[in-house]
Amino acid sequence: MRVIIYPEQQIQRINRLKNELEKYSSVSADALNKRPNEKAWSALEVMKHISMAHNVYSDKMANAFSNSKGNRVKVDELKSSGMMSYLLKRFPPVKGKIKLKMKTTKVFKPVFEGHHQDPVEIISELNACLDELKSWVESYRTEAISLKKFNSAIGAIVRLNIPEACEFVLCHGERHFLQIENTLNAK
Amino acid sequence: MYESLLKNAFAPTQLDLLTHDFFFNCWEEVAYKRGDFITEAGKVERYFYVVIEGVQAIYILTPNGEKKVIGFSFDGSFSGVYDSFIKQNESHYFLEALTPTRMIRMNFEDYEQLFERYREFDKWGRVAHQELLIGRVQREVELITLSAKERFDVFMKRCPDRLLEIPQKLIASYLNMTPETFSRLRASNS
Repeated sequence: MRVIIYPEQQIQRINRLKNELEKYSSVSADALNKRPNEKAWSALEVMKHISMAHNVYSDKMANAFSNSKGNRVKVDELKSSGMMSYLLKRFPPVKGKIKLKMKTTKVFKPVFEGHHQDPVEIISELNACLDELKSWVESYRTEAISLKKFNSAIGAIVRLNIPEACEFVLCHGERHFLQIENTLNAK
Repeated sequence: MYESLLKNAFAPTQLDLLTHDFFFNCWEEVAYKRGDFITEAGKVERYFYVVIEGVQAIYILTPNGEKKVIGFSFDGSFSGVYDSFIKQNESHYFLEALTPTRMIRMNFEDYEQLFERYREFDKWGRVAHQELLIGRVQREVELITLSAKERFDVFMKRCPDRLLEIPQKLIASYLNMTPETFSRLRASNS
């Protein structure tokens, strides 16, 4: 069955992430910088990774919104393509678990090299990314858009239109917010 | 400025209270375009509203993301996500302007002050909450006991004309029926 994308649901989920992020701003810098083990990322590194992945989409989305080719439609709901549905069913966390593991490519790895990072800057950057994601959803919900597909951040293997890209970025964020929670709860 | 609107909305509160500076100074006017969210799920409702003009829907999303309409507000009625407003916690609901909307709104601190400063306001509070409760129970009973046709008939008798301007699928959702059933009932009714 195809996954149906609803903009209101995306907005509700983005608000949830923003509320989570706000909670993290009161967590100590030490806890946010702490890596649960040598190979794992700290909560701040995870946050930085979410922002890095998001930023790849900023230009892509700007181009997609300005694309005047083809029909432009206003989207109340969108039945995603077969390939996207397959991914979207497995990509977000389900009941606190990640079903589909993915390897992070080098370009999206945060490079902190053991330095103690300032949480304010990283949290603020991620908050701005979530605001931008929300503005994309609000735009495609209220303005007519082209549904022409473009390459995702992982290349032509996954091609998306605007609502699908919002969903992809959002699911990616949700996966890693779960990782942040687990990282902070690790003993 | 909004004397007539507020007198009607806040009846039976005594008029001398309504002419009080504090009460009138609590309100500010806001406008929304069609499709704007007035309140979003996941955010705290900061205001209590009276509608000057326009139609708004309050709805919740199912886990799949579908809208389930809980109610509507329109010219002269109160609006807002009341439970989030009273508790000042995150809303489970969206409040959306379905038509261009003008409202006046009061913030939570002023709302609380009204009850603290003026005993007369308790009377409005009591009556408003009683009516709200009776209305919700009545709706629940209608949803449980009436057929789709009966729910449609009751709604059409009761609803203001302005509500019929909004997308049918939202009214159908409010009446807990499919848009197709609503459309069929409406066609057979005309």
